[in-house]
Amino acid sequence: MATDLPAENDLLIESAGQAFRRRSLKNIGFMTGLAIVALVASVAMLAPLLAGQDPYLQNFDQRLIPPFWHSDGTWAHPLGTDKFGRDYLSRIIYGSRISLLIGLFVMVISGLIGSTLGVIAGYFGGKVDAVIMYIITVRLSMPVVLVALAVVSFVGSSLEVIVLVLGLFLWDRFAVVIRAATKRLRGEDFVTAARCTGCPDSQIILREIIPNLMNQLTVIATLEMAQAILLESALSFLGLGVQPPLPSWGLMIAEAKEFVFFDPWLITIPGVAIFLLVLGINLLGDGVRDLTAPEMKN
Amino acid sequence: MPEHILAIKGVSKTFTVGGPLTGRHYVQAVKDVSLSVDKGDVVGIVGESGSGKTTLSQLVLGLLDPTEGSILLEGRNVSEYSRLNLAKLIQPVFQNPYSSLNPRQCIETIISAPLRVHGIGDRASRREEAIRLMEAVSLPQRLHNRYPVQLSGGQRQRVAIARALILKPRILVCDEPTSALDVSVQAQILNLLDELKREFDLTYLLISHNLAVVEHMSTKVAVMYQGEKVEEAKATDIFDRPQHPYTKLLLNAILLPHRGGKKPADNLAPAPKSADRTGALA
Amino acid sequence: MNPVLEVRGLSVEIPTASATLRPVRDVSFDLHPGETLSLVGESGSGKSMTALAIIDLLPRQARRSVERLRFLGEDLAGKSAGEIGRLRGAEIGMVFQDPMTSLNPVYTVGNQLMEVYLRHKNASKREARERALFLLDKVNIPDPALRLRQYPHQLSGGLRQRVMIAMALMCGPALIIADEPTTALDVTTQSQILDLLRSLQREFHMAMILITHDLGVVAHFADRVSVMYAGEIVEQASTDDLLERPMHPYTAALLDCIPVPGSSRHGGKLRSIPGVVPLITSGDQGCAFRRRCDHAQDVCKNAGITMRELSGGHKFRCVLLPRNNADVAMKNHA
Repeated sequence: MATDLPAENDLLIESAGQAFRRRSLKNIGFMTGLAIVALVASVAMLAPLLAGQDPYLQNFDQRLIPPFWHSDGTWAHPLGTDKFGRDYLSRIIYGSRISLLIGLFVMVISGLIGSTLGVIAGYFGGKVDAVIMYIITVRLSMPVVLVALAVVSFVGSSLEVIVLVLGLFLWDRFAVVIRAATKRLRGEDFVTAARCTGCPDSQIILREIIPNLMNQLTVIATLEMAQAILLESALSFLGLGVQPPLPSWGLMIAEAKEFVFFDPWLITIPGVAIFLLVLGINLLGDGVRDLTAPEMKN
Repeated sequence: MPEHILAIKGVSKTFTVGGPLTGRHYVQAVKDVSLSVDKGDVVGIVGESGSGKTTLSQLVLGLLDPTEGSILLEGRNVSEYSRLNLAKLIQPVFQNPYSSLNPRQCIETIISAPLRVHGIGDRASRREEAIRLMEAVSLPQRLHNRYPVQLSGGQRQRVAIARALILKPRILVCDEPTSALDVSVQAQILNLLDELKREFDLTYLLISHNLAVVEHMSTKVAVMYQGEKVEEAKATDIFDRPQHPYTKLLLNAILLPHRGGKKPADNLAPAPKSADRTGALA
Repeated sequence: MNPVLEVRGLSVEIPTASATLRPVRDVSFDLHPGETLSLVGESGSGKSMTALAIIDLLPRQARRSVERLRFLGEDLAGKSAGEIGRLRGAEIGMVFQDPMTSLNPVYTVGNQLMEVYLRHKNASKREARERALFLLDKVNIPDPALRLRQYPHQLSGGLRQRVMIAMALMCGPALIIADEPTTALDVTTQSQILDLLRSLQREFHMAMILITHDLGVVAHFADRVSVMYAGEIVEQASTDDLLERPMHPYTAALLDCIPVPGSSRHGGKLRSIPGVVPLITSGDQGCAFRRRCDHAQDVCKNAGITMRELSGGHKFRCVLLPRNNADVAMKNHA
């Protein structure tokens, strides 16, 4: 047809999706982060196959054996054993499940809460916005650890309590960022056009606004997941989180406190695990942001 | 006497800016504007920034309520129409082809969206209807599953027009429909709008700062300045016999690619400078 | 008189994943002191990128190649980034399109004006301030002393653009590059700003490259015009010549598209150019306009269509012979 771009030129302009797929392979941060997270996820899922031994099995003959690179080490326990004689490698492997589970559940719960509040505040503005901003401010003035302490003293600590406490706490960043993004989108002409077609607000939010938030949502979600994992480790270290004998990496560090000078590997190995996982998640989130941000500018 | 398809009667719109902390200001974007549009008209509204033309278009589309006055569509007050019924009567075409399409939806979805909102037909029939409209606006069918980022400005504007027409409205409110487009594309789109008007028996409200474009398309022209309608006349008369000093100023400001730069208003007496807030000069 | 700017064979390439784009192809022109040359074209014509290529402000991925690039007799192509940086602002002033974003919102107007002067000249703050006041007055800004203390958001669009012009003039440049300087402004302000630029140009004897898509602006303010299409200059002439006898079919068609108020064509169809400006890549040959041209012939597909020259420095890049072209041009204008 005479009025259109020559068909050859179609190839030169890619859709956002195509551009992402092509550039993601070249982005080192993204690929590294993806590799690490994929690795940990696989380990978590295949734990029974990978861990040779029962992480809960105590064996007082085999206490405090150092890892295989040590002179006293043995291949029967590649990463050594802890003070109860439990195989450390198995505990690390099963511990990945706990970290990932907590990270995912907290991300989903806080994501749902924060995004909902953010979208409602950003879309409707006015009094609704003022009320939600107030709620956010209240939440920001509450210290996580002290609240966790209070909750735990009432209810006792466990995996479920930790997930709930963190989920109900870490939604503030979601809310603030999604609110700002929603406000900006609401002013766009395509939203006005949707209103002019008689589209009800709920449909506009679902079909016009939310799909355009996905990029930012992904970035924040990965960052919050990393933060949740770190917080859980801290809380478990303080005894407020997951209870023994679960192999939470943070708890493993707590249990190894007394051995820091004589058997430092008991602390460094779970410490490195936490570090690597959080690093991987952060690289993944940064990578997604780098890859999608230019699209938004264009 | 047949009633006007659109009647704007003594409409004013005041916005409240600021609150208890910063002091409340009132901004009157539209002041006592009256305008009537008959079926088949193309009414041009000309004004620069701050003239209130965009606010007026939002009032007519039912996106805002007037502070004073009333707007009647086919004899009934705009506020009396349900959202859905209003949508079947009047639709917008916006200026910016880059922000008027959802970047995450493909062209076919964008065009057929209004049908989905109104629950008309099923997926297959909506798709067919979208394709039919793409033909009507001269968009090649192969673009139906592309995304806005892959289309040119002119093509995007055609998508916006197709979307506006799919509910078979009577009135199109075009807010600077070609201002963001190249001159050669502008001509294509203006010609298209002209064809579609005849084909679909439409009435247009054409808002622009470009007096030449407005005069070319319109039957009647209203000039707006700082919220007020300062002049209204038949399109040909606006050029031959401009009355208000601001209209003359606008005419004087038009630059045409003629040798020697003679402008149509050159044979008029020099117009007084507009006195705006900052003094003699903008 | 020696030209202020000599450009020969300027090209820009941008390698992308699927192809190498060529947004500027073999552009050549001269600019003399006191002269206004307009680069006119639609989006995709390469006019802005040509200016960026001259002052070395291209995007990172772009590659420039040029046969000759001389400014005030000195070779510009070989200069280092630092040397060109010193030229920009001092000898070459720039006025961009959007005054809203060209000024830094956190510094006062006076601060930004003086900064340019202090950076390039060995002057005291007092001298810089006097120069700023002098230029603000020159650009017809009332109450300049007050404006020096104000922030950009306190000024209207027209005033901000005047400040931009003053900023471009602070160091007394020999060349001004104005890229769509009035496109973001109201129509009534547009004329005032362009008149101002013209009178300042005459007063300070500066050369100007005026980049625009608006042929009306060109008609009123340019001495010579280069019409650009898909990266190439397709026609180059004095403004009067171009408007009276457009030789290239694109130029003629473009002039025809513009709605003329009060003309007998009211209500009828506007002449339009079907299609869109194509993206030219490294493999493409032949005339870029041929697919949209009413007079295209087989030979237009071939590479290397050179510029022909009529008397008076009127050049155009088309295979049609001048005699036929005259008929063509007249037919288009009927």
